[in-house]
Amino acid sequence: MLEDLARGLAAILTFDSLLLVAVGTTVGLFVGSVPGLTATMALALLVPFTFTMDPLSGMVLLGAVYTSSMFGGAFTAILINTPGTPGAIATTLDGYPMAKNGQAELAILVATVASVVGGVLAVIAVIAMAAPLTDIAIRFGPAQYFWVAVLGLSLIAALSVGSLFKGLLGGAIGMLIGTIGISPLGGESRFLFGFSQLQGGVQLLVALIGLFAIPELIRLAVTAKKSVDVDYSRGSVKLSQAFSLTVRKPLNVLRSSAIGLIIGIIPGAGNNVAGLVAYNEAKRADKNPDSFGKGNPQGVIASESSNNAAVAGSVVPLLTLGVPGSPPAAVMLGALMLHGIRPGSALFAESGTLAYGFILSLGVSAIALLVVGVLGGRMICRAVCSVPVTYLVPAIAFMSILGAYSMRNSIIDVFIMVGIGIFGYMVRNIGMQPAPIALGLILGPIAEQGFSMSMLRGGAVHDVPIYALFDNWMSWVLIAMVLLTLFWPMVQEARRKRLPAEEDLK
Amino acid sequence: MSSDAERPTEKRTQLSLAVAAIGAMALFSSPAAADFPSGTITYVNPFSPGGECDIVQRMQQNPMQELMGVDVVIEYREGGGGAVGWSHVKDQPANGYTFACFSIPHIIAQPMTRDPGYQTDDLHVLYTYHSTPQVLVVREDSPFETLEDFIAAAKEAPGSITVGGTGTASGNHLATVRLMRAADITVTWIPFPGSGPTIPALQGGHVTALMTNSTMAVQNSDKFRALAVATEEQIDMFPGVPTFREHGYDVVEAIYRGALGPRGIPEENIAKIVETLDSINRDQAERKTEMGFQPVFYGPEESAQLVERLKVEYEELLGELGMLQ
Repeated sequence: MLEDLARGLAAILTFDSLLLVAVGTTVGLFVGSVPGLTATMALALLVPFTFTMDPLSGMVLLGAVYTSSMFGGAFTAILINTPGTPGAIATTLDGYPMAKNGQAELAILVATVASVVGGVLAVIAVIAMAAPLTDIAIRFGPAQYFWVAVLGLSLIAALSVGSLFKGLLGGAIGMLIGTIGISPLGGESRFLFGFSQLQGGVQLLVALIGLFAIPELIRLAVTAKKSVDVDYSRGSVKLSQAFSLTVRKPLNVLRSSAIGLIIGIIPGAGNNVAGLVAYNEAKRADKNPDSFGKGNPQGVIASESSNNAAVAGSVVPLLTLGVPGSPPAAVMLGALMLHGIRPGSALFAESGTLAYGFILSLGVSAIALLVVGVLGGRMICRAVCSVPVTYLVPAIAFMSILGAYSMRNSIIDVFIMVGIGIFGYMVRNIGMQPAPIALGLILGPIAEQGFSMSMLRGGAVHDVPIYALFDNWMSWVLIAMVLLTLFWPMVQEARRKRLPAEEDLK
Repeated sequence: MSSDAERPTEKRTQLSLAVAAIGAMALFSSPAAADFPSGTITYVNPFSPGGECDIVQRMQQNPMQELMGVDVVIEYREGGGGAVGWSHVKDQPANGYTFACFSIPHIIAQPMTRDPGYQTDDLHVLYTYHSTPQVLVVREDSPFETLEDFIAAAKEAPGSITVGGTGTASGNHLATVRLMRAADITVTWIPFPGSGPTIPALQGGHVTALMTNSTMAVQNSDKFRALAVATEEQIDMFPGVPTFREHGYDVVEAIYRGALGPRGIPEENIAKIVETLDSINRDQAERKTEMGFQPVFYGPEESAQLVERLKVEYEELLGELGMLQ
């Protein structure tokens, strides 16, 4: 293994490979920071270019784009409150308030450092423990998917700013939107209202652009300000400041990276959820949970380190099982197959240089983010902050429409995006946040699928089908985590009340 | 307004309209094969990036551009198990510039079970390039050594054996239904949202067996044991694996993929597309076999025969399942 590792390292530390990393991360940054351009699409377009390359170079390029686009989503999340990729939803929660407090550049630098640290840590973990990590992916059956989705939904309780009721209502609306289309198990049509286009359901990214970008654009337009209310002072923030913020609480970045890694490994849950789970854990562990959501850099660190750790996580099942952990990983699987490489346990034995070289290159790409992020981040930051709103709003609106259309080349998707956007603006005014709606939309289908499949399996192996949800210790671990998430706020409340009382006794 | 001033403009408009009309005729309505193709070809992928259509289309894209001398763009229109893409292609001008990757049974079974926005006969299957025969696989350490073991266990405790695969009324599902019918057994069908998640599900023991595509079975041959193949005769990619027929069960099922367009494309243009796809398919046959595809070379007539034959069979199977619309 060490020999393969060394050979893989030698293969990627060549000029050509490093050039591919540089190109890939730049492309990825662009793709990630434009809402609507997805890593999946970018990778699919790049696949034919990799035909002429040797397999490792091709994978290095694709891996660099993937890594960087996960990171690029943070820019729009911070600057215009719109996650450029679904993985950056949690970044909006504290990143945008930071920008409003005049810390836009600090937020971007913190996001950069956290992404680099998360990415590198995850690569080290994958190299050291690929086999036991694969085991996690295999153990996840329908029941565990169901409980992971429930865990994700229980985060709504923790993430709801203001009213819990409105948060839950938002989650329910999201889940309802998620049921549109062909049902996952029976294949029945649901809520098509006569449009055969709706058979494919509401695309997650189309909904996200609508939920996040459109309300922000309407808000910007109606405030009639000259430029975005993000203060930007050039060069006043040093990279070292971002570093010290990240290192000051090493537990946060370690915990978030581990969460990202593990959720990334589970095929299907993917990067979308990783950021939110890590954010919630960071908030729970913090001494001052109320500071989250108001511009706490630790929230940005949690979200960004975990969604970049999830990148390395999602290649574990790809390489060891031949099962893609995320849609971009599915495209990479296709690229591997086109090169005649069969992923699976034999891959590490037969083409160890390729396997280790590819994993290592993800680490190199993560490090490259530091350069790309600091340079590109400052540039994008300056551009967004200095362009007058009269130009910025139409420009972002244009990209949003283009993004929604390009997802499936469908004009219906544009109407859906605008419709959800107007709805999002109206409900935001009554205090309903977009994050719970997005969470419901992401997790509703996973929960439905897991539940129905468990019931089918339960009918075959148990007397009472529902036992299938409880017949495995991993289910119980997840159930415990759900209960903890739901009741922790009450525990904290109770403690807070008790503490002053104890002090009185002294 | 003086009418004199308007006249020249009018004339110019008429002239340019005429030019445009001639241009359009040359581009679209004229069946002149020598001119086809003279513009960009749109090759629709109704499935997601990274799927089996995607892999094949990406393989064909470059040689197609070389052979046809025009750009070939792959356009994603995913959703509804391919239905969104096919109903779109159905409504495109029938000139040969737009066609899509298809898969059978989808284009036959979908209109039978719901309204997918198209009918099978709206689509013209131009060429069929490969099939992925269905294979019943179990885990390497499974107690089922042979198909007979599996069937005996299913007879002993009906419904207790779970078989996983992709979707409902899909190739995987219909092969399983055929097996249940032929062997008079009952197993519990567990539909997964795609072929990817079925692999860890079998490895982790969340299902007893998989009815899967030959590509999946070939790629995971180190982990899974193939019990039987749903082909007419044994095939080279599964040496020593018997067919269901050898065991006395009439189960033949495969997923077929190829290219289809709207009805009414001029014959000459169809001939050009078929010729191009056929030549590429023959070049790539060996590589595709290694990947687990079984290349076939069906032109429009053979493809139409295939569709007609399967229509009758699927109607019967789906009718028995109570799934017909």
